[in-house]
Amino acid sequence: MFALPLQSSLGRSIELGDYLRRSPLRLGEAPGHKEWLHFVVSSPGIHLLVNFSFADATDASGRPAGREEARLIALLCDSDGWTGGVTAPPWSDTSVVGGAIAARIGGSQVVWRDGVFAIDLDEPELDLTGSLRLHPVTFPSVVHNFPLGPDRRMHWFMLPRLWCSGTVVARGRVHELRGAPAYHDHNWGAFGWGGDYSWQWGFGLPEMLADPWSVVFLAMHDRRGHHADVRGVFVWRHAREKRLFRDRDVRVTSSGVWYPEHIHKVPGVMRLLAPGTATSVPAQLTIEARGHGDELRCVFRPCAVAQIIVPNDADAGLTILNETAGEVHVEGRIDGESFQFDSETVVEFLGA
Amino acid sequence: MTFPELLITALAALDREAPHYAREMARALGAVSVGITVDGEAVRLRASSGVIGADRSGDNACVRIVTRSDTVVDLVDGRSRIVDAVETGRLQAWGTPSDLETVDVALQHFLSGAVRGSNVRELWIRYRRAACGTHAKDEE
Repeated sequence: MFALPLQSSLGRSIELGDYLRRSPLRLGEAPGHKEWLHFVVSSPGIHLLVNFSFADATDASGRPAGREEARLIALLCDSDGWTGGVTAPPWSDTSVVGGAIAARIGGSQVVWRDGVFAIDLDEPELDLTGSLRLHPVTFPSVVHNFPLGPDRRMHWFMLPRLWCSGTVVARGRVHELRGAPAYHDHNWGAFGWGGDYSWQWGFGLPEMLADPWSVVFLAMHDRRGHHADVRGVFVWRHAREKRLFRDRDVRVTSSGVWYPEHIHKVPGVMRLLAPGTATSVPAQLTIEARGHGDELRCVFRPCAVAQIIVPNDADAGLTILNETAGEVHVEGRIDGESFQFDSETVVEFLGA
Repeated sequence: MTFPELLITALAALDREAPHYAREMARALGAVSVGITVDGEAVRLRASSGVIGADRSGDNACVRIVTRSDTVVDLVDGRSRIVDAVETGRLQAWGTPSDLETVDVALQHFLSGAVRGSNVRELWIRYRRAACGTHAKDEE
């Protein structure tokens, strides 16, 4: 794919930025740590989302429990809709290595080895198994200190483009992936679910590897979605980050109401607490960025949604992460070069 | 583990782990008692002096619910909705509309506390394992 020095420096940049931080609880610092390694593979006919998550546990009253807990989220969307869910095995059945990119939750694991992410899924209870190899294509970008409330911060390591090969078996149906576009990020920080924030983020990756453009966008608002705190559109050309549009350069517009026929809610018990099919996902999300002669426009339209539903840490409410599969159209002009592509993607809408 | 064992132990765990939700559940239930029979085993849920509790009796309840453990598993795992279980006869419920609504509110408080603690989750895993074994045998 690349000449060796580029591949080597790309791998080094991932090792230096993507290592698991682990909770500072063991060092006597304040609790509230959350951290996850998030992977999405999106290609025609299939979306796969895998998330290895580690957090300081709280008790049912929202107080620190003085221990950590792990969760694996594995979701797949194909022509039969979303399937999969969340597992939370006991901590004794979890292995996580601080300072490295290696974690096992129950029977599933992720490890960075020889310049490749190797993910093995063994979740018979979720009816989902598989073995994947994800090869990075772009250099990462890191954003620190997203505000998520007073003294609450989240950090974001993003690796927008990888190519994925392997096999996933869902509900007995075998999906072979050969060079499928994939996205990876790693978030960590000390914050609580249910704070005064919400977000929308997603990515656009061309189907063909020869097409050099990769796009990631993010919009963070207050909980009600009225006030925008942070907006960003990140653009890569080949391996390197080419352009960053920020805040005033970026306009995010939600339009229309989307009525999904069915919502796959996980964990399943949350269907009893959050029934119905109302979502905060619009019929169309448009992100427009403009500045210094450059411009970019992404238009996302949803087709299927899975909700990851999390109890708020400090109140009786719920936080809902809408993992929304759909199509994105991207067009732009950067440094005088015009481009456009359409691709499959998963956009995340976080809201109450 | 039977359903009465699950409910009695889970309520004790809720009271320890999430006393706020246990109190809200008792407040919501008020004077409404609920008799639940699962796989023929009965348990009665009621609030007394603001404290939620359960005992092994299905008699004289304001609301009666009869179902099977595989239906309970399907509901909690999100494979079925309560309304679908009622409509298909997999779950039968008797009571006034007002009392049934009260039970639904109490259930929301119970679940809100249960999903925030670890003990009820572990109890649930044991119950589900036992329930799946029970009905696998039935179908053989």
